[in-house]
Amino acid sequence: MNEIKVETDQPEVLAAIKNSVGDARHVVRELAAVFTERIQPLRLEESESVFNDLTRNIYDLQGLLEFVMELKNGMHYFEGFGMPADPISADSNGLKLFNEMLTSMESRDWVMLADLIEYELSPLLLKEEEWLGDLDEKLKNY
Amino acid sequence: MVFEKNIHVLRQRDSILADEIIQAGQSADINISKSKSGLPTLRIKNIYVHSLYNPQKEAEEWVKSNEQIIASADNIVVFGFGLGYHLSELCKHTDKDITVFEPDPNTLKASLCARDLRSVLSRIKIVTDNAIPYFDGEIVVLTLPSSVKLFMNYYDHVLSRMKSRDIINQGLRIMVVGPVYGGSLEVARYCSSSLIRMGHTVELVDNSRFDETLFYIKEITNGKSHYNALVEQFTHLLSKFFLARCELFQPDIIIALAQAPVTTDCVERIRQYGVKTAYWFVEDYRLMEYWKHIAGSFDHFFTIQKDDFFKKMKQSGLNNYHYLPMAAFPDVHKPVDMFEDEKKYYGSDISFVGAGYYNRKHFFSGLIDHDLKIWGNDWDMRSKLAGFIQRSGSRIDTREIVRIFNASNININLHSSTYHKGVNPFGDFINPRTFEIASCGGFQLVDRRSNLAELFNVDDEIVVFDDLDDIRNKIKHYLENPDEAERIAENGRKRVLRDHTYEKRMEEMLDVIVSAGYESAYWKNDREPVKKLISEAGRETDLGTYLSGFSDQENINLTDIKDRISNEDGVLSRTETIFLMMKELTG
Repeated sequence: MNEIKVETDQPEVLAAIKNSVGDARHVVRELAAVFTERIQPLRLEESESVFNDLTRNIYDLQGLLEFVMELKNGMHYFEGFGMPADPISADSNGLKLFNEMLTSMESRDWVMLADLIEYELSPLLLKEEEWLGDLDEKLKNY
Repeated sequence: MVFEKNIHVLRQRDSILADEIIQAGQSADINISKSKSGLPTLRIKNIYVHSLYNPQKEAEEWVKSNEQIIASADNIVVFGFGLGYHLSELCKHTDKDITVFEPDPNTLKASLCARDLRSVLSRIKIVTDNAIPYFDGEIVVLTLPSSVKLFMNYYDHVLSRMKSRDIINQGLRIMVVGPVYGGSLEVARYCSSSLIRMGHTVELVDNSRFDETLFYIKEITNGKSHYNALVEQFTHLLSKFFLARCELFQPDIIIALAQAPVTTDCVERIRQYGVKTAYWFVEDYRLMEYWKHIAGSFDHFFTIQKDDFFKKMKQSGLNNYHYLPMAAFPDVHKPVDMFEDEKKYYGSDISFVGAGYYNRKHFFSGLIDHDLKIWGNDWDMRSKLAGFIQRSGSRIDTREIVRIFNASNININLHSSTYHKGVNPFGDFINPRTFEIASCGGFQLVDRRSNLAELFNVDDEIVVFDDLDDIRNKIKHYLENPDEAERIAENGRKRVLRDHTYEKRMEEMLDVIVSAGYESAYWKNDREPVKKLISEAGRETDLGTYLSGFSDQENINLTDIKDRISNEDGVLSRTETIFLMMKELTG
């Protein structure tokens, strides 16, 4: 087990992270499932309802990205518990993908958007969920 | 190499489309790249049509998602060809008939270059235009959305046509009204026969039985005013015949051909029953100006010219016009076997069939150093063409015309003009002869017309000439190269059979009429028995007494009563006033 080095003057940050990781895991799992549901409708139809649902989901995804950025900042205080960067933050993966998805949406390239969700976003969310699980374990042991 | 293999298979099902695809260009908008799975994928105008990651898996899921509706149908229609992944999977999944609509030949070409689609091409029918095939049984429409989005207007149009087809397929009652005489008489017969073959109940009002009367009117007077008055009376009489016939036949749709003796009053009367009315103006609007008086009376006005004619009609406040070019009737206009003596009699190196218009008299004088035969009437037997005019310029019937088209090495087709010395440089519409020669498998040289290239592939299916020098060179070339002429003639025949038959034109016409909004005519429920009406009103009442004046008719409606009141003189009775008010209120 890695040695965890915590800056003791930031106990409220640690508490905030502890409290939110469980919720974040739930949100990521839910988002992964919801986005997976969007893949086929995107490939099969181009209706307003699909577009509206997707817009809502992307808004939620944006919220998750913001949370991950906050988490990243928070983790900085604990030197990451010795963990690698989370998959969404690493190399700005999440941000790049988010921008690609927005571009596809703007150009109404539904096939590309479905591809990004199926082959990039869903695996990324699953990895993120796994990473949050590891973090949760470490926080429990802390 | 893959392209050639695909084209070979496609040619066996649709040689014209195969040629169209070969001739298609390479569009900069179409981009084929390798997907992450290694298979090719397609991007058009920067939008992916298939998955960039795994187009094969995507296609499998497409079929799986549509499984239930595929099972429920007899015919499957697919909008969008793409690279055909979805079609390959569909063909594996079902043995039902599959028709694919794809308007872009460039996309088809790219697909046939990128993938081995032989198993698909041997199974499906591809449609690239608005011609909706006739389907037996239930149809389901599946879409490749990314592809449909690129040609949204086209697919909307096809879908609307397909919905109309449901109505048309149930069979309609159609009345075709022909002229007393003239070129459109045959056209009326061809339309009628085609509609019957399409499964409709058709009544042809054949006014040719009155031609002697019309010719007699010409004989009995030299005075123009007498003649016009008599013709007008005669037209009114024939129009009444038509109306009477309509009431008996109770059509859903009426199609009148150019010069049909139908007055606008009668048309308006018929339209009150909800009957859809169409007029096919198979005339040159520049020479025949009567369109101005009739076009607005019909629901739909079909023409063989567009562009300037459409502008003129629009300026006249009309918006009911549609372009519908002439056609051939392959039951009649067909290749025929002939005995040697027949071939000799009807055949020549070059021939012309048609009347001796001003431009033709001039033009053919420049071809008298050839083995030339001119068939038809109105030629000057004292001119230097006299020796070439067959049977002293007598009329030639259709049976013989078909033989001439078949037996001539080169059929010259020069559209008529009353003021040019040869080819009319502003000629637009295509005469029936163009389609008829091609349908016979005859080789023709036709004068250049602005609307020709959209109906035939010039040089591949038909050859055009611009002037006398040009035609002389082309006559020499094709007489020396009969195989080339034969190949072009065969291509021309295939094109006519595919796109330019009267059956195709009638399909198009009905699609337009029904797509514009169609409900069955309400002949049947509109009229009521006079006896019943009198009995209900009470025989001794004012109303009963008034209605008894209609006892000579079996059934009447409000329009009949209004018409009778309008035709009578004197002061209106109270009952009559009430009927007129009722008519006014009910429209």
